[in-house]
Amino acid sequence: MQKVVGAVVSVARRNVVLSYVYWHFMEVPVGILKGWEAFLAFGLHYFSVRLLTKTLFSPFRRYLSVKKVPGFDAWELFQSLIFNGFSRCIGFVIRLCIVVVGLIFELVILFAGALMFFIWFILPILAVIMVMKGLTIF
Amino acid sequence: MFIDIKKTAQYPAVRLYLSNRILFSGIALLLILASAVSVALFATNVLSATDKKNFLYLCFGLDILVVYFYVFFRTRLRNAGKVLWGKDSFEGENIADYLSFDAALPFYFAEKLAANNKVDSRTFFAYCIQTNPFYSTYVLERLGIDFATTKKNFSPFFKQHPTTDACFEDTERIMKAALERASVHGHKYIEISDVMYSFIMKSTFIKESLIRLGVRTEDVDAVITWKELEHLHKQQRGEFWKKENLLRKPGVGVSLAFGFTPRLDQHSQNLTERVKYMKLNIVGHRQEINEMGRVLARMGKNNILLVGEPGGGRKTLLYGLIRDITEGRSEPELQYKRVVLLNMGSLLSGARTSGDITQQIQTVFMEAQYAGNVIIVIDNFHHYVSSGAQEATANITPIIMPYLKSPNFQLIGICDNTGYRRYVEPNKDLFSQFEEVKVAETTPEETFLILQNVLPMYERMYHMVVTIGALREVISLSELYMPNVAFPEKAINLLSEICVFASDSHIRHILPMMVADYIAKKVQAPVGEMKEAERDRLVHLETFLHQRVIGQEEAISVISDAMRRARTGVGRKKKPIGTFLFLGPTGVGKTETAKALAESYFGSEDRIVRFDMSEYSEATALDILIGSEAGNNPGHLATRVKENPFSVVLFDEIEKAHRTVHDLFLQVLDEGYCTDAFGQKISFLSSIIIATSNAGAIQLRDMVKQNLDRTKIKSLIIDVVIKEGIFRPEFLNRFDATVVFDILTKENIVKITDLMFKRLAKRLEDKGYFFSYTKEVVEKLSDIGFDPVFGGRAIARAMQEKIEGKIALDILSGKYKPGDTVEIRAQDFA
Repeated sequence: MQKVVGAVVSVARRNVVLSYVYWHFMEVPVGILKGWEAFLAFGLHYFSVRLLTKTLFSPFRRYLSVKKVPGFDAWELFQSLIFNGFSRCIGFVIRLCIVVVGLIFELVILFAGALMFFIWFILPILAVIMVMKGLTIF
Repeated sequence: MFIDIKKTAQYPAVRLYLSNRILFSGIALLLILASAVSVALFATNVLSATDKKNFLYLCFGLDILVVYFYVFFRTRLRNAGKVLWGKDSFEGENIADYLSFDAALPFYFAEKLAANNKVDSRTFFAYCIQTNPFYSTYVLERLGIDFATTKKNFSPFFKQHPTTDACFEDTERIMKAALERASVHGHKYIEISDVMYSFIMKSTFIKESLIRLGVRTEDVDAVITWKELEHLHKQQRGEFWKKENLLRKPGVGVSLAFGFTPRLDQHSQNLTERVKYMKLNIVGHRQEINEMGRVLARMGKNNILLVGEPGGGRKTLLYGLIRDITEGRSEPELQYKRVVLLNMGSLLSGARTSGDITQQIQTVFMEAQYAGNVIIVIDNFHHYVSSGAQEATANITPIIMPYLKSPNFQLIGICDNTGYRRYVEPNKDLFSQFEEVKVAETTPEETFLILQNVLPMYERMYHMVVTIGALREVISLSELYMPNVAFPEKAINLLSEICVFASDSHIRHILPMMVADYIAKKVQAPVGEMKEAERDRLVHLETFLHQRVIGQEEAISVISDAMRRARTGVGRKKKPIGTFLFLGPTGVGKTETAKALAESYFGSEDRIVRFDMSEYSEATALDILIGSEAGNNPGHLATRVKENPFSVVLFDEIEKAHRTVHDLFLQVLDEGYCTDAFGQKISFLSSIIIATSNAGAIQLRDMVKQNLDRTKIKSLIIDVVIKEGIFRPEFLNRFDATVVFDILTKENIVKITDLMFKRLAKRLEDKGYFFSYTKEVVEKLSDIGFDPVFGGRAIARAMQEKIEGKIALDILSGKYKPGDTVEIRAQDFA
């Protein structure tokens, strides 16, 4: 099978028309897919979606009230609970915002990639139609 | 294997390109014009709205088609050749199948002119240059050859040397060599670089011509590989859509997962941020970078001491680690880590009391610990810690210790070797919290690659081309003449200095000769290829030395021979310029010879570093010479030789030095360097070492009295000094030459006296007096001063007492005024 593919590729390489077909329907679409995947990975990385999801409920900027005096103090415990609760709430809201922006970006890339993939296949026909339509001016 | 371009997949692409390039250029031009016209039409009302829309369709559709076919040509047709990757055997294959488009193009032209399907290698080479002018210019200029002249010289050369069978055989050999190089270098196709390299290395006529122009064959490979790497880096950086390039951008949300560090940010520099904008190609040090990554990823003992000489690449190594972290190549534990360089000066500047210092530092360290992603770097860490006995600038050890033990606090301390040994290593508690990473100085080969990386920046900045020969000269001369600075810094500094100098002098091409000239001016010592005057002086060195040293024909001849060997590079390279042991009684001209040598080689008799070795006879002598770590004293030898590396180092009365000093000399004389108490290298590679000794002087006198043969005397004296245990044979053998100085005869003394009178005349002339003396005066003084035991010294003493003293008194008493002639007659002294 490998030999047959090799032979086909070899013939396609020597013939400009076959070479073109191989390029348009195989080589470039694979390249577009790779680029698409790279941009999707970039979105997740740039908006730190994984890290922020993992630390979604962590305190904001690691601000936590720590116990200062030994022994049980109900008032101090209550203060700590309130402070830490707020810290986690603020952290959650801010991180969530960034994660949502990141996910929107991913959606945009997903859509743009699919569109580009589709347009690529019809690009030569599209260009020819545009030229034909344009020629009506004469 | 065979070569046939017509049977390749590139052939239609080359033909398409050649037959349609004018057509394509024309269409592109037309489209640009059409776009301009459409803008104009849209601005006016010449066309109706529908026509405007249709015109837009036309322009846009044509634009798409042209770009589409251009991309097809660039990405597909140009890469139509067979791929070399994974191929081992090429038996029965067409080599031309593996040519890249750029390499196939000149072959296509050359084959068109071929007779009986045989391609003339010279035609092929001419087309290689013609079809790839930018590449050829780059390679030839880097090799120090003028591209325009080379191109012009082709036709006359071809006319003088008609085509022979060898030219056709060459083509096949060259193509096979190109295929081999491409396979070895892991190229996808046989590139134009592989073809050019094979031409230069394998083609008889090209190789010969280049060697005649002074090109070294190893430089050809270096230049071509250099260009290939440059092209590869440029290509990799340009492909922004690739995953590795996109992921280089740091994430915007990372900081939200970690703590605030306002105080730390105020007193530090974010290296992670800085490295983002750096063009960084790390050469070597991969092992150290990986080790740093492993240590920092651990849970305990995860602090690092980066130990090495300044300029040896410690910070570059740090940047390499940061690059690894940001690009996700390091351990997963280090992902999102932020490396900051703490500015200790700024942190401590506001603190007035030790309490203030403690508070400032604690605040910053606490922030770093809470943040959870900070790695602090402290440069010159040894300045801020103390080992108890030694006090440093500020002692932060007690403050830092609890933090160092915490797994959430990470520190990288940068130390030099001396500071590390003096302050950090002795403090066991502190030392145990760190993992030490030694940064070795880069090798000359690694430095060469580093210079290749930084050179384009200098060339762009100063608009010049540095040849590969000049680059090699920068490395070899900085290694030899800048022993106190580490590689790669010294080479980079020298390169930068030369670029500035060349720019100021409006020089466009920097050649090896210029580098040598620049260093020679800087160190005031002869460097590089010899100039006419220097060559003349070396050839006639005996005459020059005899202008100052009377007699001692054999000694002068031995020294002159050794110096000529050293300067022409015939002698060993990794040794001092010359090493001599002068044996002989006092006053025979040993020191005078050393001064004459200093004047002849380094341009001044003041370029002498003199040690009276009788001062180094105790057991502590070695400590005094190379320093002592315990006493924190730098050694005499270390200090003075480092300050004056380009000089004659004179060790007077070497026999009186302690035995341990003799042992130290064994290494110095053999390797050209020794190491001081603080681990610093003291280099003697740019020095002439002269040791003098009176050992065997009494026996020498007896032998002279017995009228023994000159050569016999020398071997007998050497036997004496060995038998009496003054010097060991291995010590004597280390010198380039052991020179036995003759006892001065009466004739020698007369000549020395005459020389002294001439020098006195010169000194008086400088003060504005003329000096007149007769031959009788010289003879009388040499009679008075002649003393076989003290030699020239006795004459010098007589000169001082009888002549100089009298003249000084006469001048003071007003007998002579400036402009008068000071006259000395034989009857004036007795």
